[in-house]
Amino acid sequence: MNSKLPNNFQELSFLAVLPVCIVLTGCGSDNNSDELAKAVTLESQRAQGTIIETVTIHQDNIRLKAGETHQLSASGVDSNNETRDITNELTWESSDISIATVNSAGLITAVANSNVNQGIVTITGTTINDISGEGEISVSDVAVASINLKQKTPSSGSINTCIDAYISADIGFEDGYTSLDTIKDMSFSLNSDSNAVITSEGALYTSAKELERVTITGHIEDITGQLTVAADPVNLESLDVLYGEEITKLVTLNIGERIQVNGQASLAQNVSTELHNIDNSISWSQENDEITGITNSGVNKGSIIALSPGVTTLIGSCGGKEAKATIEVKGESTLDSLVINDGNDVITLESSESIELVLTANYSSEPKSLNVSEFAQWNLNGSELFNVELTALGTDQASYKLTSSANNTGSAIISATYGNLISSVRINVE
Amino acid sequence: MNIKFLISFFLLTYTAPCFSDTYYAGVDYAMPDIKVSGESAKPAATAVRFGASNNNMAFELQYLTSNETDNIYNLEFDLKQSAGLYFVAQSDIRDGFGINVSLGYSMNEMDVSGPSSTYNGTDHYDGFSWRIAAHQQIPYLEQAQIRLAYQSLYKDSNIEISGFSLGITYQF
Repeated sequence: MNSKLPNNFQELSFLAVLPVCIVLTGCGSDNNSDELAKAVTLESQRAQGTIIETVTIHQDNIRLKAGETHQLSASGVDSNNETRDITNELTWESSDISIATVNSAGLITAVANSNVNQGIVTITGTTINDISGEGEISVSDVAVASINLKQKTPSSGSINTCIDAYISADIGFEDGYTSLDTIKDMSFSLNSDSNAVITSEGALYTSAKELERVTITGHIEDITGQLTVAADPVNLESLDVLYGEEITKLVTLNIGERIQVNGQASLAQNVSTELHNIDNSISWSQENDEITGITNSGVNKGSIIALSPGVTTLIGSCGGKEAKATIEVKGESTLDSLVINDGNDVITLESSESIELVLTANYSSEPKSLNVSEFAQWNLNGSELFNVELTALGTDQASYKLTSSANNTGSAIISATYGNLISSVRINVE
Repeated sequence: MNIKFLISFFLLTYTAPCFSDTYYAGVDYAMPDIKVSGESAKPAATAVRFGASNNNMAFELQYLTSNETDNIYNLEFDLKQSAGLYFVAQSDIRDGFGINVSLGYSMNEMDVSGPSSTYNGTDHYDGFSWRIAAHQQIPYLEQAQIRLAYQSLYKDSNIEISGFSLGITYQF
């Protein structure tokens, strides 16, 4: 006992010393690792000739309202005379952080609306070798006074039918400030007789066979601006079907197999030697609709699924030109039956609820079943109880989505026809 | 060397005898890798270690100093000295082979010199440090072991000091 007590005491004293040591040693470093990292980066860029000599700020000259954010970008020309994106290499600074702040990635946050000097704030981006570029933004809630639409790509002249074109605008405000080259808060519409499409991002997709004049109207609240562009297919040389990024004339599939094809256009050599992706403008069809199912809209446009054995010709059309490829579908399965969802005869849902109907085709052999919702003829049989849409096009999760109208109750029989078979389900809305 | 580190060392040295039943010392050839902004300097170094162990645990002091400098472009890096205190968790020895994992605190003094327009200065990089090592007894010299280790001496968002070391440990 007498000899053990001192030993325990010593061990305890050792354990007591440990946290003291941790506290003593656990203090912060005295270093300038930020400066050292900057110096190494600078030396590296000097050695490789990639040190930036000029800085240009992009996506500036825009008006924001308090609470909004806006991403700036920057490009720089280095000592090798090469241009690169330097958005994340810059130290960003705002001239008035009470109006707008900017983070290390060039993201501006509008803090407060200002009527002083049109709410203009200067944003500066500085490289590690102290080369800087400036851009301005404005923060104010003054109303829009004018919209001046303009072609962004191409910047002038006719646009080439089938080739993506982009529309932008200079937006004037009542205090005299002008946002340059922006589509912020703008919606678009086209003349009703045009078959062109314009997205909310200002991308214009054209496909007419002849020269088409497309009138684009930009709207911000009750202010509008118009621009008429000429979409001319005269320079369109040829179209091709791409499968796996290769031009293809023949594709062989097994029943149930799904592939993605893309459209490609070439222009007259004196106009452009570049090959253009025309997925947004091309329209897909086939000679025999029973052989494959083709998705012709949405994010999976150009998705093709083999549905029954045989041979068909895939046709991609745009601007009066066509690209063709033969599709051969192999297999011996025959269609046995159709089932909607799990095969129940009656489905009940509440008012304002939605239901997704999936039509499954059952086959005699592999593949045992396929989702053919996208390629069936759906019939509401006169019911006005539902708003309908096809969802998840070009995927195996495609469905026919029914949303019951608010405050409407009743019953409807929904039928789907596919391959000479028909399947129905009663939907009760309670 | 930092006075607080020395105080800690002497406190542990003074109280360690009641904890330990074995003492050991080692010497290593180390290859520190100083990584800054995607670039790397590798000044070779020598490390000495002293430890007290008991029941698969040890407390160890390591002192390391570079034998040479290395450069990143025009910047010359000299890891002047590094001192670390570690708690070492030791595996059982099987056929003379064992591994151990060390957790501790390392204080590193590094000198960087370059043209006047770049960076010049001596900085201290102190913080959490860890190490994993494998060792094998030397035949006919059971108290000696060959030891291969990887250690991280310091790491923050701008700089990392780590590297391999190869050396000998002798148990008294």
